[in-house]
Amino acid sequence: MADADALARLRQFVSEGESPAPAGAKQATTTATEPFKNDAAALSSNGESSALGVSFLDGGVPNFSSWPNEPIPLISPEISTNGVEVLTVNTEALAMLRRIPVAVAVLAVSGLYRTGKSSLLNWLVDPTINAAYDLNTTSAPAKADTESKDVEAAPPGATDSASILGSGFAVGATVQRCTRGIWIWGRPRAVTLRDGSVGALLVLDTEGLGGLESEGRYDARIFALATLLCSTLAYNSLGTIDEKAIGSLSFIAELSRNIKVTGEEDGNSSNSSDKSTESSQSSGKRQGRDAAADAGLQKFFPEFCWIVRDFALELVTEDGEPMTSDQYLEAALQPQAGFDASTVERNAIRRAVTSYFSTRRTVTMVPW
Amino acid sequence: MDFFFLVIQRNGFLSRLKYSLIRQLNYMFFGSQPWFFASKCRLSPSPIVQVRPLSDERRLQKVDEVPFDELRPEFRRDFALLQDALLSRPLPKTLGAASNRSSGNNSSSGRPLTGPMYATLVEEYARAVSGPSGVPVIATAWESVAAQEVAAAAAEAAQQHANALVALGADAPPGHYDNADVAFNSSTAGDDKSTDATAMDNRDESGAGVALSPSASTFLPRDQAEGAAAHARAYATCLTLFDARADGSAAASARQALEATMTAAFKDWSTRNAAASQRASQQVLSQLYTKSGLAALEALPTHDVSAETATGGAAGVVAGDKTNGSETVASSEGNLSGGGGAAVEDAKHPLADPKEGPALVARLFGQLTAEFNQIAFGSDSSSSSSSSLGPRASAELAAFLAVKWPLLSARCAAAAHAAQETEAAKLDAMLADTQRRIAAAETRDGARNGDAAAKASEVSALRLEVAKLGAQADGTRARQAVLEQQRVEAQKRASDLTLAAEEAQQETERLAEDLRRAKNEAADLEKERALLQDRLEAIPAYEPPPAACCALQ
Repeated sequence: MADADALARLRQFVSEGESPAPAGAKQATTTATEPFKNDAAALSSNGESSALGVSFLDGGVPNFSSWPNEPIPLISPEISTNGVEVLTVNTEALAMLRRIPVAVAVLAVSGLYRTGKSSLLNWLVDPTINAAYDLNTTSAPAKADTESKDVEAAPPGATDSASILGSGFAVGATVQRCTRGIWIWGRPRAVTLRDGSVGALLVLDTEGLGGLESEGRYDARIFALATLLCSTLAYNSLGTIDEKAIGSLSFIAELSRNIKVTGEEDGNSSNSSDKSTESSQSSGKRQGRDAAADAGLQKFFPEFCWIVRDFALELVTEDGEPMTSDQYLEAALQPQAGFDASTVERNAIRRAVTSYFSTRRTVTMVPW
Repeated sequence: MDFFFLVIQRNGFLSRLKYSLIRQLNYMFFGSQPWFFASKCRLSPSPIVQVRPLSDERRLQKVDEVPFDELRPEFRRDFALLQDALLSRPLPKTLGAASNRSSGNNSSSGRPLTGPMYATLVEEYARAVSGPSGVPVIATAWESVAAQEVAAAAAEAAQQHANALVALGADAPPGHYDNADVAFNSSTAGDDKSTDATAMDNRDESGAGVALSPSASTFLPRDQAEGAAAHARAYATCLTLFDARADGSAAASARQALEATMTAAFKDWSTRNAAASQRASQQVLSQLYTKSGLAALEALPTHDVSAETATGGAAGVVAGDKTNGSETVASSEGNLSGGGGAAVEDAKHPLADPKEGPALVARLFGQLTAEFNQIAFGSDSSSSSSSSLGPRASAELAAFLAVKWPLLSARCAAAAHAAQETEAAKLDAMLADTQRRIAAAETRDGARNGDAAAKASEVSALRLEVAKLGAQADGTRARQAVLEQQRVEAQKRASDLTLAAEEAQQETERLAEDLRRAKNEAADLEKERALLQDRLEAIPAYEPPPAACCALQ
């Protein structure tokens, strides 16, 4: 099949993408994208036959077991011809996406750089760890109930565990960000969606935020893209949800500047400098507009799941009563008193989180 | 005033004991102002379970090389919860309310995105982010997705509709019905082509069989009502399908285009179906026509005898060629046409009979019509098989009958006329012969009449003679009586006269002698009279001439 060739070229592409030559960046992009034009053409041309190449198992479950069990770049930062860094879409990834015949659920993991997002994702996509959630693995129903208690025993049905090691989302131990842009796991996971229908779960890994080489605008754009592209946004953090953690969510407050619901609101929200010079008497109006914009954005925004990884986390209320992790998050998102600049800013962030993400959850974990 | 107890530990941990103590102190000093307390102290909750990190820092850095099973149990326990939160029944990515202005698209929100739609969304957002403004506009992206989905939905719906029509019956491969047209018009030329067609198309190996049972093939023609029903079904289904997928501003016009496309597709299908129906009907008719022996019967004896034999020979050649081409029909067909050929050779062709001919033609066409209807519309018993020759079957049958029936009837009439003419000539000859015989009989009759007259005169002469003899006999009897009297007198005198007795005796003896002679003579005469009487009766009465002769005259 052409899949083998595609896979080989994909691997080549991945290895090229990981070590971009700064001097020949332009050349690298051309060599990196050029073959993929052909590849995408080949994919789409035999896509007529392989568009239905996704075979279906019993109950309309698509069988993705032949798809590449490895990450594929979805959106990569590249230097365009006029020296501007642009985000380009990997056409091969798009071609693969177009072959998914069912509804998709998209899980994106974001978070500050060097917080181990990719490691977490590698475990999440590993079918040997969580076969219970994959309709493509036959042993799923038997494991579903015992999964939480019986994690030690690897599911016997899963066989390709070896592919995980060494070919997962890039994990690094340096301060360099390992993941550039947004990557997607090449093999969708056949799952039962919330409405009970059969769907495909896509897993996105995003570039860590706030790295040394980053600039805020780039981070905000990546985060905005991830937010727009997923149906569940998992925010991974180390340590408790403290003021610093809240403060690190500043790019959420900036979402409204990086995303517009309609083209009309362009003039109002994007150049806020004009806004401030315009008048102060319209501050109330602006508030209302912001609220409306928030409400508009909220409809398109994903579920928000905060993954709190901390060793010493006891979930108790102020009265010392135990509380759930969700209550913990809601308490942390309560506006705090104070009028100093940082408190105001953090309260703005809190408000942004609560207004943009109407569905919020928290999962607390000890680190590995 | 803004005073409170704040305990900050370097490690950030606060034991439960200290936690409660500080809470109590704050309460005592400042009353219930829990938000102060909460905001300052909540952030350092005290640990109950102190989890020891992986001691090996190098292992921690290369955590992905550590098998998952060797990670700390607490982490694996928590990871199971994370899995449950993220992987169990995930929320599908849905198409948001794309345009607020062009409202009425309320149905759009909550519509799950499929792979292609999601790919478009990715493309749109990435393009927008890299664009001049660098800010993606949700509505624009959704509109693109919706537009693309509309196009895809329309294309798929149209394709599905087309598939439904194809499933109804595809066009026959070229040559499938080729022989039909030719066979319909003339038999000899068509069969060369039919053998060509069978050579070209293996599926047509038993092309006649296929055509005679069209239900076995997936080719057109199909029943038009069935097609219309399937079209209506597919039309509704596809529109529902389209409505379920399509959304946005482009949906309405795309729907109209889709409707037009589907209608056009059905119209095209109907046209092709009608054409195929015409071809198939004609083929079946021509085959039935041949099968019924009508081709041979068509070669009716005309006034030209040489032409008749030539056509009969041609029909024989036809049958021979057919055996090469289609074996299923050929055997019976050959027999039938052979029988037809025999019938042709028979001088008294059944169709040439002025009385039976039309009835025979009617019966043959009736049978052909019945068989055709059986194939075209199926019988009630086997209605399950949707054998159909399509919408044109009736029309083609009517056209066929309109062409063939008068043709054959006219041939029949002509043949009957010719046969009658020969019959009349034959009758004329017979009449002349009979008249000749009558004339002969008449001459014979005349002779026989003369003979009878002669016999009658003879009879009358004999009668006259009999009467004469009768009178003579009477005279003789009278004389006999006189003589008897004389004898009596003589005897008396003899008795009286003894002397003269002897003389008298002598006289008496002489007289007796005379009497005896007269008696003999009278007996002879009587005998002759009886003879004559017999002869008179023996002469036959006069016979009139035979009735047949009279009738002929």
